[in-house]
Amino acid sequence: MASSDCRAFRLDSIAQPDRLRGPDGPSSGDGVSGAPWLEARHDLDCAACAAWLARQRKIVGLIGQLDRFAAPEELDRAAADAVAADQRRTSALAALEPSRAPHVLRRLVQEEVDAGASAVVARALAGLERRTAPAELEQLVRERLAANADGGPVPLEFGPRGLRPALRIGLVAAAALAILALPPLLSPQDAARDFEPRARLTMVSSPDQLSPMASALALGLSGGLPMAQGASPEGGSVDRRERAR
Amino acid sequence: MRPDPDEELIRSCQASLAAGFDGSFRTLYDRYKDRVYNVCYRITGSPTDALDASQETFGTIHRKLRDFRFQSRFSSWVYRIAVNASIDLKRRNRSRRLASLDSVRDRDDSDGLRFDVHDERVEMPLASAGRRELEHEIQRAIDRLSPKLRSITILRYVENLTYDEIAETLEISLGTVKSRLARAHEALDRELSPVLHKHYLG
Repeated sequence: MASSDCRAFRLDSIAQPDRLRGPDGPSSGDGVSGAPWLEARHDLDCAACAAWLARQRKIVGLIGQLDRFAAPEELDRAAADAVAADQRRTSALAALEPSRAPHVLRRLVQEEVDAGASAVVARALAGLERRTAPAELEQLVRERLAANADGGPVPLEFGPRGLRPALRIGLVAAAALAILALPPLLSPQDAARDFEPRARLTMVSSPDQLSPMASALALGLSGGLPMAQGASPEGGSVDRRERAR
Repeated sequence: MRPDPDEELIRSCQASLAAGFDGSFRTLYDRYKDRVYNVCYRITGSPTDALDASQETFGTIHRKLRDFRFQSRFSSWVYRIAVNASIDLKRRNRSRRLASLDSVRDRDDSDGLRFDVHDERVEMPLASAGRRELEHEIQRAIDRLSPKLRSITILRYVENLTYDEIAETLEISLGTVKSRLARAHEALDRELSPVLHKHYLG
């Protein structure tokens, strides 16, 4: 829009319905009925607003002459159905008998109020589902009892059940190597040239073959290893021929 | 407020609601069915939706008629129900495409085109195909308006309600009526200027 005058003219034109229906057009009842409409001076001076006004008159005229349709016959039946449904609903509601609260309700409410919040909690807990122990629990208990009977420390299982001990040890050792190798990898590039390997990966088939330090490290990382019979965490019976540096 | 021209009929309906669709309510229905249908049709843009919305409108009118207290004109109340039913239905069926207007035009009892070629205000193109296309374009432009602007355009320029009647129907102030109409004109001008150029100058 070119100016505030244009905006004011256009808003005023829309607010004056007769202006959109033409200077001598029929009054819509909002304007001055029967009086000739005086052309506003602005659109005589402003070509854009004159064009705008002409367009609005055409649009209003076109919309006003859109086809008007007779309601289809289907509407007669549809409206009758809607009214019938409303009547059925009203009749059904009217036929309902109001229920009276049972006498025992007063006593129950009073008991509830007297019991307080603890009663609500107890009731909620009582409603919790009681579950049966899973079948795997029996096996775990048997293993634990068996381990207790040996007199040794109770090992914690590391890794998925069923994993072979050798594989578990290898995994733990690999984890130890990764931890020891981290600082050089995270250090600046130059530091890598000065890196001296401080650990060596050795695959062993039983905990007995680990040195005391490696055994202690694996024990700490894994939370316990399946102990070989007669072995101790201090590595008293470990074969020291294979050492992890 | 001027006396409601429908007051006597409404009171008769209120007294005989138990009779259902027959009797006074049938007279009321006949008096308003075309207006309701056309409003619903122009707002929903679909003959099928217009039928559904009209059915819902008259069901609501019957349900609430006993509580009507003449605090507004009855016609305004009816239009309000029709507009709301149409907007709600269109919102629910938002994925539906605009139905072809040809399905309504091909009906035997449909009104003929009302364009007056001698009306200098309009200067409609004479070719039937051109008029049909233009009407399609106009309906499409109306359909692209927001529900609020669409309602006010239909009530003002199709149903020829006054600003006061529109304000009463939509339960908005006179100032809001005018500002919404201004926005509707802005949107329609944007949509229809190329169409007008094509049909009148092309």
